[in-house]
Amino acid sequence: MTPDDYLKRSLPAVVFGVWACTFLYLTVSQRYLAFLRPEFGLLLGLSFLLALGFGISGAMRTKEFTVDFPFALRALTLLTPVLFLVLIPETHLGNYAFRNRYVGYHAPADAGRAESGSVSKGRTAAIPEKGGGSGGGAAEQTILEILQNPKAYEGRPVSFSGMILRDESLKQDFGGRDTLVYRFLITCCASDALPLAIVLDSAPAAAFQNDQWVQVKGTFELLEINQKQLPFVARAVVTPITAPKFPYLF
Amino acid sequence: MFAGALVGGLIETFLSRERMSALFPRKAGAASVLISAAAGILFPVCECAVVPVVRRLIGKGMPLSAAVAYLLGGPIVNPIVAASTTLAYALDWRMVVLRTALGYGIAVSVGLLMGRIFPAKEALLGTEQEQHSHVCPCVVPHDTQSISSVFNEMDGYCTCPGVQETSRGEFISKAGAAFRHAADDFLGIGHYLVIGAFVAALAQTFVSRSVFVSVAEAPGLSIILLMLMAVALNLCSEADAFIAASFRWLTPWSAQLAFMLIGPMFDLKLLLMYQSVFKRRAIITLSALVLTAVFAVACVVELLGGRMKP
Repeated sequence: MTPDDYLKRSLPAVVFGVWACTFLYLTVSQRYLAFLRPEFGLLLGLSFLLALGFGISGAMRTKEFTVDFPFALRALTLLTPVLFLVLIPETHLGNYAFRNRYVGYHAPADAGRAESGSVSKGRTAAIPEKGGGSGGGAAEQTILEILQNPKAYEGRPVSFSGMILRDESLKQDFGGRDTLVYRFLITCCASDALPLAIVLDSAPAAAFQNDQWVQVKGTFELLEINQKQLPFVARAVVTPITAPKFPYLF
Repeated sequence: MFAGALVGGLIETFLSRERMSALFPRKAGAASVLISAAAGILFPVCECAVVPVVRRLIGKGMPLSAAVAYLLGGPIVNPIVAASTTLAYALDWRMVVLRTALGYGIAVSVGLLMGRIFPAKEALLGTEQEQHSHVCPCVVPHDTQSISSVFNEMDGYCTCPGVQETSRGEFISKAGAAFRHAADDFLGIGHYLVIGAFVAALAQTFVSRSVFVSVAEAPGLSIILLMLMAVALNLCSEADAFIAASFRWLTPWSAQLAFMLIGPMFDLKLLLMYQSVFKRRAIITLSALVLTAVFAVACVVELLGGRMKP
């Protein structure tokens, strides 16, 4: 068998083999958490089995495949996403995506959601008492839990984590404030990610770069800016933290 | 896409033309279209997975009008999409009923119109025989005469020596053939999905959503803009309701509805994937019909319901 014949026989199997390895790698290393919700690891496992099956069926062909230029181009196209995953291994949504996707504050619709991981599904964090100080003893909430029920948190101490964004262009929409803490809410994957944000005064966050993960403690308020409500944390204390295992909210 | 390709392979191998004819008789006309548009209730698939399935159903002799109806209706009229829409709109049943009912209506109407405008030969890329020669697991390009000698009409799988060499039992042979068909489908269509996803990623990266919102107050314009947005974003029908719901304080319901109706029927990746099923003239006609129907329906909703907001 010449190298050319060998290529013709093996190219489909190679394409599916590479995809099977990619699915396995993403599942085992949990790299998929950078762009998918955790439960979808099961689907990646299923995709691994299917890609393996397709690859084996391709390798067992008794007749060689017609490998012409268009076919080779299609095969290369199919492998492009794998190349992306290899070359840019630690990418997740940040402040650029926030700026592109943010269309203002509105309470998220699904009241049954909660952060996957540290908070069990369907749980609503205990709402702290009013006048509890600057969040000193506040239980940890997520931005989602606060924004789902903002009236209930008004005037109460809150504690939540997210990424810092400081930008002059925010001032026009946020009553002269240029700093916020944000996270993304995803339903299936990063392509449907919705940004959620709470505004801070700029001073407590002055030391941090954009996209630095921080924990914020303070008193939650709803400000009226241009006849719209704006979620805000007063007297915020901002401390740096490491990025959580699940960067998104679900 | 992998799952859709496998379902297509299983259809190709395990569903005979006779059974397909019994399920979707050509003489049944509108009845088969009405059933097909609602088939997503039993076979819920998203718009990426439905293309390889429909490709195989057409290869098995499903009438063009019924195939188009399932292609358009399957990703909307299904329980997973209904559940996600219900959740996204905080259990507001009005949007779920509107989306499902209007999606079904558009799928039936466009299916019937496509069947009336085009004979199958003029709309589809290959005749049944041509499609079989493309996808036969033995990779032998059979002509009509040789198909009759190697193709098992009762069981719908190829019995030529190319297949028999690698199989022992009938079931194993069929299962192997199903996987080969599925692999062929993925290799034949998958690149459209990758290119479509790349274009969607460009749109997500370089087009700010606030551009759409800034002109969204005008009802007609907001419908057009949200339709354009759905075409550009290439979202999955099982998740798009959450994006639509994020616009509910900024745009009228009619525009959100248009967003959720057009995405599963026509977006950039589907435009590319349709090239694996239809001829160019049919794609242009199908696209025009879908775009017009969705816009018209959204305008009617706007006129009848006013600027409904929850």
